[in-house]
Amino acid sequence: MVNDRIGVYICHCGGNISDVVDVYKVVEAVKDMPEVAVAREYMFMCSDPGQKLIEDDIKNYNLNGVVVASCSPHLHELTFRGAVQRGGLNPYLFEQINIREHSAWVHKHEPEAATEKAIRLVRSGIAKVSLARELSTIRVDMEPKVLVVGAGIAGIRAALDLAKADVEVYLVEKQPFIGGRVAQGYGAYPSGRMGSEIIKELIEELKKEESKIKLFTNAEIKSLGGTIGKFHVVVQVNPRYVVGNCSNFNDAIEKCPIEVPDEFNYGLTKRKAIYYPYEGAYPELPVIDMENCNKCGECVKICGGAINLEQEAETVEFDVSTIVLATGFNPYEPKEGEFGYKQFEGVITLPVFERLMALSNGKLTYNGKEVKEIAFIYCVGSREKDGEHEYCSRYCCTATLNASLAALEKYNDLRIYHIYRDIRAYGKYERYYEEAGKKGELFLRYVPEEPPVVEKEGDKLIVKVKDQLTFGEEIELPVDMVVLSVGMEPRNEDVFQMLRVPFSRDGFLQEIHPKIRPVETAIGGVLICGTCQAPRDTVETTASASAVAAKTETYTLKGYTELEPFIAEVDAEKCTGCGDCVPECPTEAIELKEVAGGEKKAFINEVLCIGCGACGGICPEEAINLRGYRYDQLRKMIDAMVEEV
Amino acid sequence: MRVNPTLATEFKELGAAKVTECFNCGNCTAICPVTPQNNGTFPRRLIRYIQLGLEEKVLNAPEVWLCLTCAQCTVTCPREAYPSEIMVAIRKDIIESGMCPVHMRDFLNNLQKQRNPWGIGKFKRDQWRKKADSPPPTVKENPEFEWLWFVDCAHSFDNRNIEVSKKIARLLNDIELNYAILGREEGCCGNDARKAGEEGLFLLLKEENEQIFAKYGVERIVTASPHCYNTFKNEYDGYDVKLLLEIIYDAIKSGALTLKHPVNKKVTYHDSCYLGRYNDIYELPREILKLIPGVELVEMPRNRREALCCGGGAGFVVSEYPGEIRPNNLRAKEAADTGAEVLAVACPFCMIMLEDGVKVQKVDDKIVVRDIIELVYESVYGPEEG
Repeated sequence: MVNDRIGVYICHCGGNISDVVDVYKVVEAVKDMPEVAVAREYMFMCSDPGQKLIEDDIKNYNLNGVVVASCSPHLHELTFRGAVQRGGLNPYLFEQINIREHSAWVHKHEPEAATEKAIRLVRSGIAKVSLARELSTIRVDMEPKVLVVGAGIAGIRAALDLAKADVEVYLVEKQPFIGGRVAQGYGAYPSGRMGSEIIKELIEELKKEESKIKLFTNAEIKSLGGTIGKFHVVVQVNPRYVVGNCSNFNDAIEKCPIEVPDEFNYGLTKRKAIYYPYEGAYPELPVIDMENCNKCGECVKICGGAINLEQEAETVEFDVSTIVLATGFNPYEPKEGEFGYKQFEGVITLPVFERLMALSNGKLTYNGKEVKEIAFIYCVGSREKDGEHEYCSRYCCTATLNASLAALEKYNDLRIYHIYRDIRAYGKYERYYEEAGKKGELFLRYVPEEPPVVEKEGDKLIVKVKDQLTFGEEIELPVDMVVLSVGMEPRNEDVFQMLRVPFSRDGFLQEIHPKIRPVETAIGGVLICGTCQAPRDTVETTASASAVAAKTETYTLKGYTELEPFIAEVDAEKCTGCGDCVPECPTEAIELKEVAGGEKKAFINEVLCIGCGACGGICPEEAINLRGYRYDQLRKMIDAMVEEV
Repeated sequence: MRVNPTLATEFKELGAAKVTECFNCGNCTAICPVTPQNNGTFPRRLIRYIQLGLEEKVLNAPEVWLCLTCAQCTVTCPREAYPSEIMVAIRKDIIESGMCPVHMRDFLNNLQKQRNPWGIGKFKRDQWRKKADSPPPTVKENPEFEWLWFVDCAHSFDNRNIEVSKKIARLLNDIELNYAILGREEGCCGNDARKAGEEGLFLLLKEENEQIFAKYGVERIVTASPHCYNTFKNEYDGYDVKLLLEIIYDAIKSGALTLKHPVNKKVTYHDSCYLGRYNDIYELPREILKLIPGVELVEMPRNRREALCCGGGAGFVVSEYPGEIRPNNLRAKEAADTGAEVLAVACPFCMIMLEDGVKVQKVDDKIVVRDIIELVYESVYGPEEG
């Protein structure tokens, strides 16, 4: 079937096009084509009267196709599709030809050639529409069920917001306790409240939403398949070995004979094999670290049935319509010898320093020695032009200033030096920088070509800085402790591979558009928030978490979502079941299925298919067409394009 | 060089109270009118040395003697670290260490021995009084005085300024202010001794002044010198201090003085550092000039908060200035460039420095330096007497 009553509209774009392209000549060149019923030029096709023109012509000329030659479809494809639909025609029997960017603007010094190119482009558009078929969007049902991966501050915030909108949430956390990195922080800015206090407040909220939020801790996502509307999730919940409540957990912990470095405190303290990371940790049940437990049974003697040392992992399966990734970051771990790290005692990173402050009361002590003089070195592992991390983690300046002020407040007579490249205490946090200066903390500036050097002299560490603020003179600072202000590194989680989410150049997960679509990824139904996306402070993290929750609701609460119809379509008669297309598909949308008679045929999962056309390209039988871009359409377009003008 | 964090604490006690607040932006260096062109690190470098505790470098920096305490840096400093006060603190440290530079010695010796910068015998302090047609009463002559007119060193010993003193006396007598002067018992206020870094001498002078004030029951002080005004008002305790111009202004406003003779002159006014930047008095002198009939007031491009110093602060009214840039010469040229015929001043040190500048710049045929008091006097009593 050929659409042979096509309306063609050439737009002047107020001179943008018509100053170069002779629009009257274009109309002349196409108006007598056999498929064309009416051809016109008009000043502004996108204007209300321009759209009305299309609507009226469809009725008056009984059109069965529309071609508009104007600007880029990025700008007005949806506008014109709307006009076509209002005129009573299927919106996909329409093609927008871009003669502004593709002709008038790029060839403005060659008006004749530009006009010829415009004619060729319009003819090929007419050719395409003449063979176009009616299409409709693909409707996907969306149940209000969401998987949130990671129960740090971002994951918890997003889960709470979703639950409050009556969305069912599966919150999956790898660690035995929730709260993530924020729980470890000391006096997070801007309020200065302890990280664990902030997390506790969220935990109280979480408890109230128990009916909506299913929390899995100590849990790993084993597989993740499907697509927007229906992702199938398989979670392995690892054994906690503490299976019930007991009033004597603290006695059991005390009796446990095993002592290992406590990872929550970065090894500054020891913990038992059965433990809580900190007071108020959630879930309220302790956990047994089976790698270190010797199964002596002391805890069982006290807690009896609450402890089951033989507990096994459980597998849980469920379906969700969208996924929120809130998997967080890793603090950069300096290399051995980098500013004396792991080479000299007393060289630690900022996160460790924060734990040290949380643990040191009265006096600041490290390995039994009182710390009086501290040098903070900034940008460690960050902003390396040709190095591992080119980016600035941007939270570290403020975090370091904040930590130094907190230290000054908590301990007497501290002497603090900041050895920095640039202070980026942006936004409201400039006042920390100011306050640090006013409180006598001393700032020394280094350039990356001449970084500071840390040496050991007796029981002191000596930091040598070529200080730009002292006109490049070398200054020596004798200190007790060097704190390395480290940035954030992206994590690499198995779920990223399972979902094929794209990464940015820096290795963090990438949004579709940083300004316009900041929390969605290119994979439909997979959204991101917090520090898995970019380095962020707590304030920015929770803001993005609430944003992701609101965005997720726009998908889930309506009950359905619509996808474009331009996907692959198998002609079962031509398909020989060779299977060449299956490995070609980047989204695993093609499956070979047996049909009646034992033959195998390719089947396309409409929701998974992204319409890339790779399968059509490989198919030896031309059995796979891309809707909207069929073989016959493309051939006719080429013929129309090369025909003499 | 190894840091010594205790040095900054010591300097805070020396008066550099805000030294640790400096964040080394360099505004002070950019604004400083005497920073050498090819070594633009003063005063920032010295402040940095104190922060780091490099005392050796601080004590051996000759640039510190460039500072005129004009306070342009201090009013511009975004951190309110008071750079000019830090320079004063460094000088205190140097002088306390017994390393007073040669060029400052005469000034300080003169103050110590004769209680005036020039070293003229202190018993001559009241000699100007004999030349006055309408001499001021002394505390002995008028023991019931309400105001003590603290005449100040320049108005007592410097011939050009004595001309002004005589006029002040007639004006005060005619408005019938109940006042008196201390005569030869008057000392030096100590303002510039302190700014030069001789804190001990300042304290000694202050103690002497307080004793003499107590002896005569002084409660209220009026002075024509911004330097005296500054120190009495801000560094002494318990006195009601007024600037002479305030009294003159009130007398004009109340009708006690009538400005009846026009002074048909184009006049530009040079702000004194110690009136303007130290005490925020910018408009009073201008208001008085505007009240004088015939005066056309024009401004130099750098005026009020941005006004250039005359170069006479911190002892340099007599001491040999070690810098290459001479602010009094620059200022005289700026004044002449406005086309004004009179460069009006409100400070006896500005008078001395700028008269010198006008001569060096050879613009004395175009412009003369006059105290505002002299212009008021001319308007009150007529051009012949003026």
